[in-house]
Amino acid sequence: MQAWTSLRTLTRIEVKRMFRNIMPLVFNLFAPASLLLLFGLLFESTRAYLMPGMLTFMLLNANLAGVAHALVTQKEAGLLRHLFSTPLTPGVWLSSRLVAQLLLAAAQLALILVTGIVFLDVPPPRNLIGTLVALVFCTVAPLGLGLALGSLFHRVETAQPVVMLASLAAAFLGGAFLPLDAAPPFLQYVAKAVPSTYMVRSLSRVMLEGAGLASVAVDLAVLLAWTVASLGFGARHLQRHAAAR
Amino acid sequence: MTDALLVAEGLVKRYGSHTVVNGVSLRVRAGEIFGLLGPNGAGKTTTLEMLEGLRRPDSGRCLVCGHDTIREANAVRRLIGISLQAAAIPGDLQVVEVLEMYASFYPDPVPVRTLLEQFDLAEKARVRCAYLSGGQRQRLQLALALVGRPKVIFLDEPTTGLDPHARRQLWSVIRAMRSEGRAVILTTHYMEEAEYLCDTVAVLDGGRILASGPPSALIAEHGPDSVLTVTLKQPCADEPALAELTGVSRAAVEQGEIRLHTSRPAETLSAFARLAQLRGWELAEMNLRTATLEDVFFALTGRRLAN
Repeated sequence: MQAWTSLRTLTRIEVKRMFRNIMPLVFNLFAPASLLLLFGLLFESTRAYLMPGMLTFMLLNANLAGVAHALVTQKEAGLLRHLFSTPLTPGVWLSSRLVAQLLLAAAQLALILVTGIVFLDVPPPRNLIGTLVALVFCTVAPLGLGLALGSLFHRVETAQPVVMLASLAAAFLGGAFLPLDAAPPFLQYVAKAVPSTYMVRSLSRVMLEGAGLASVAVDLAVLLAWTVASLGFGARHLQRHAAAR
Repeated sequence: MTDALLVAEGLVKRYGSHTVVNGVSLRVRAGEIFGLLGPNGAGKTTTLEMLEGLRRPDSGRCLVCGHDTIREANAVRRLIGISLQAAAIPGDLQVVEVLEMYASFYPDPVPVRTLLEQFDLAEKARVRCAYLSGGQRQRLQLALALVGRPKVIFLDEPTTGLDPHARRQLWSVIRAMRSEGRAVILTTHYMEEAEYLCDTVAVLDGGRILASGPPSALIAEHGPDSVLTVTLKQPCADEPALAELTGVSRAAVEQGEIRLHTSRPAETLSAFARLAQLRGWELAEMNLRTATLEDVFFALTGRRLAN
């Protein structure tokens, strides 16, 4: 019961913070939508492909980079330590971030869809339920990665360039901006190892092709495996942070 | 002492070969303010963190209301309130939001409105924490420490960096915590703060408790009767002669200030005047006063607390 009260309050406050910090919000919500609009107008044939790609870029940015940055910032400032000196558990803290990031992801999806449908004449997702389910997987996986990456750093100034690079590299390697069909075989081989590839692929198939969830089960399973591994690593770090040193 | 809410026994903490805290034991009762007094690097914060359960002692143990701070950490966290020295308050949140957030962690928190009024923050409730003054931030930190109705409160240098007015305001808040029957443990390097606030003071240096007891008892036991401090217009390096003056039990020259502990102030004063005349010293400032905790620290370590 207490955990539920804490989760509700923390999530509400986290969402408020998202809307209060204008620059990250603009970057997370409007920059990818603007890029979609720009590239969609310039390259008409890639419009549909760009939608899941830009959504992946958004999700990586908000979840991988955003969560890693938040974790390192709170660690460096001593806030996390203070929070965990109370009865608050790392699990509740983590869950509140998860819920807040899922709400943000829903807003990101809505904005990308509206931009694509209204301004670029792209058809709405052919499998909306499948898109929403895939969105959950595609939100949680980079969140876990962000948590794991943030666990490795104690100072924001050290973490920031690494996190930004990781986020951008994941977007490129996953084919969020350009399909990697024409890329060198080595790059294609590397792409198979990064979770963003499976984000772009699963979203593309359910959104554009109307594929059922069964046909993207492998992609979602890979994302789930990444999620379990990275969230496990990050959660262990949080537990250690909360425990006496 | 059966009513002790906090008991520490033989706490030791080492970092590599360096022993930061070396065998600290203490007891704190309900309605008592206990001060850990010492210079920077004395081991105050590490000791406090072990008492709070945030740092694991290499040996020794600490009990809060009978619960082991390491083995029963979850139970302990419901019983304590902490104001960390370096903890940030999220600047983008409003005062009321921060209080609501912390209140949500406890089953029976103090109502946020009550805390806002108690800590004189009602007018700042909707102000973002980034825009609070130093005193207001510290009051908010204390409010956060109290929100869960703790039995034991830890305050790490609660008034550091505050102006005298804000410091006095905070002192009255801390005294109110004592009158509510809580045990308060604070660290400070301000001797006047320790003398004014604390029922019991432990003087720490090099990770050890050198002496502990009520401030007046410590002064009576370890402090001199009187202290003569003199600042000369020129540097003075004649410590041996100063130590031989009538009535002087300890003499030191630090940062241009001569400090003489004496049991016979009148005789020491006239002997010093003769020495100064003989050496041609010109006096810039002279002060004769009764002993303080600062002098206790000086008597115990030969160094000034401020250093």
